[in-house]
Amino acid sequence: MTQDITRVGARGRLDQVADVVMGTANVVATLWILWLMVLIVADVLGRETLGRPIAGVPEMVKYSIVGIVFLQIAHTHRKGEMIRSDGILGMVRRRWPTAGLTLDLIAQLCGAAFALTLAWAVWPKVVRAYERGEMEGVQGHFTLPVWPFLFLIVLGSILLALSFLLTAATCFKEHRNA
Amino acid sequence: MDPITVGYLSLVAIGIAIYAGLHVAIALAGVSLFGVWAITGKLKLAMNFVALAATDSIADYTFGVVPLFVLMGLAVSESGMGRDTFAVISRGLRRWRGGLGVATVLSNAVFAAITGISIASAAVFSKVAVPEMVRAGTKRSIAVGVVAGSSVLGMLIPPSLLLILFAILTDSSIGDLFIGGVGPGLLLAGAYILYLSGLGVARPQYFEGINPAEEGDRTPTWTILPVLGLATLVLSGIYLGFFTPTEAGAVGAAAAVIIGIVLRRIGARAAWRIAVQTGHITAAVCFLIIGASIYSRMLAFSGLPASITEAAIGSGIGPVGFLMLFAGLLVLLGTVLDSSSIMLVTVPLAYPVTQQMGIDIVHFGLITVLAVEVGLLTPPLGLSVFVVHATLKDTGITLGEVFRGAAPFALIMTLTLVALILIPQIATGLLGR
Repeated sequence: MTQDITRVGARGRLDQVADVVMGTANVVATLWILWLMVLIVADVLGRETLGRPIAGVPEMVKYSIVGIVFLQIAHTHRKGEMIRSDGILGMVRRRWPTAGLTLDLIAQLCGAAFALTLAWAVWPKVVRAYERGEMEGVQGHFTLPVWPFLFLIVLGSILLALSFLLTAATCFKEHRNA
Repeated sequence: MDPITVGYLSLVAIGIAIYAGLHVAIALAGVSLFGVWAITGKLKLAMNFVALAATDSIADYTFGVVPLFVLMGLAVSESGMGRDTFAVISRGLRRWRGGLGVATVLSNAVFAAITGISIASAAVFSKVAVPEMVRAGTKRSIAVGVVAGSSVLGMLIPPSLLLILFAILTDSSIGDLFIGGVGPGLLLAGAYILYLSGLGVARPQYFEGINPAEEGDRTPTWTILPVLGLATLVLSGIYLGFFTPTEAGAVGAAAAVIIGIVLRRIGARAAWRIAVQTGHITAAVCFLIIGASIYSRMLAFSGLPASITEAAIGSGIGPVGFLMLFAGLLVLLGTVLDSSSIMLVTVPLAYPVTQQMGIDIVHFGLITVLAVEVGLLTPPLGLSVFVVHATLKDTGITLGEVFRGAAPFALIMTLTLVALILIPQIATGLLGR
């Protein structure tokens, strides 16, 4: 990954910063997945051998997925691994490069618009969960606060919007040069 | 505007957006946002839908299966278990004309029991099995066809990412669907083997002569044990109710990584790469599910599924007719769209119909997965064919040759699909219903 970061050195500063931030989010999310695996295995072993499961594993798994997905989504888009059916787009691009670029630009802008909408829609929930001190889990057994996970959704959506916009900017530049 | 009209318009808009290359999750979520707004006239409500979908739809214990089974699949591919399986199985089948083809099918079936992604199988076996078959004298288009065709077993035989996705979309049991996948998977593998053996008798010139094991084949037979052990651990664990599917995923992934490290096939760098890739696939798939959840809420709001259900029941086509029609539509969509998008768009519409008609959910699920998988082999866009072609590019093989080679296998899949529609017990038999 350090390779990727140095390779973009020629591009804009914003690109570099974005890559570092998204790369960091990606590292956190990746470690989170590995931790999740270890946690569940430990829970199974504890339950089957010692008869003592780990408290709160279902709740932790539940919210971990949200955190992992939103921390990872911007990096996923940046690496071009967000799922799209770009077969027709590819054909258009080969035959009419300008039209293809325009289509791609539209797609990226739509993505940015939706990601920003998502951040905007979820933000009030973060504030509310924080102010009310909302908790998940069983009282007295295992609880964890909800707001950090909601915050990760907002953060991830903003990063995703940024990633979409950066790709859109690249498309736009190519478009102008073409 | 009339809600049902809005529903139909949204479908059209989503179709156009996906074909135009919008990211599938964005197309589903964005259009549905406007759909809810158009139906209710309240933007605030529509925004609430979006917020709910993002916060609720993937915050569920079940979703733990996605990263864990993906990690397991990538780890077993990286540690070369596919190659081992093929080496051991093909050794036993060398004395059979077309035996290497049969070995490819069988290895894919075994490998499918430890991986949930067809693309992984296609890439592994293009590298391992095709050169072997070609060297032994098999016609090249048959060799690539076998690999592309049998790679679809990866998503049919459990664990399977598509079955997990289907379970999430319909809120049904992942364990049941996994068990249901065994029958159709074995049937398809059997049909392939029958075809290859038949071809070996009818057109012997297409195949290798009876050839002894080549020099330098030093893969010891015990290397197949980790593969069988992993498959047994995961599947029997789920089947006997010892683990939840999420736990089976975690145990399977941990075991696969440990085996890879112990056999010195996964180093620190490879381990990290696998983990990052797992994160990407997880994020991509879960983000799709967020989009799909907004979409299905919009659909429920528009009343479109109910209206389609009514129309389907009223037309009197019956369960078999409906399933045939549905499967046909999926195969058609599969010529261009990718498997998960097709499922996300169509299943929320068809699921209520199948419930009304009393179709078993496992039966419906396996038909759906098998039908969208035919699309992996059909032109102009067949993902498995693309992967096989990309892996073997430097041998000078053309895309058309791979598609032609895969065609008989696509046909066999279609026949298997028809058999599955007519005989639900192929899928539901193991569940005893």
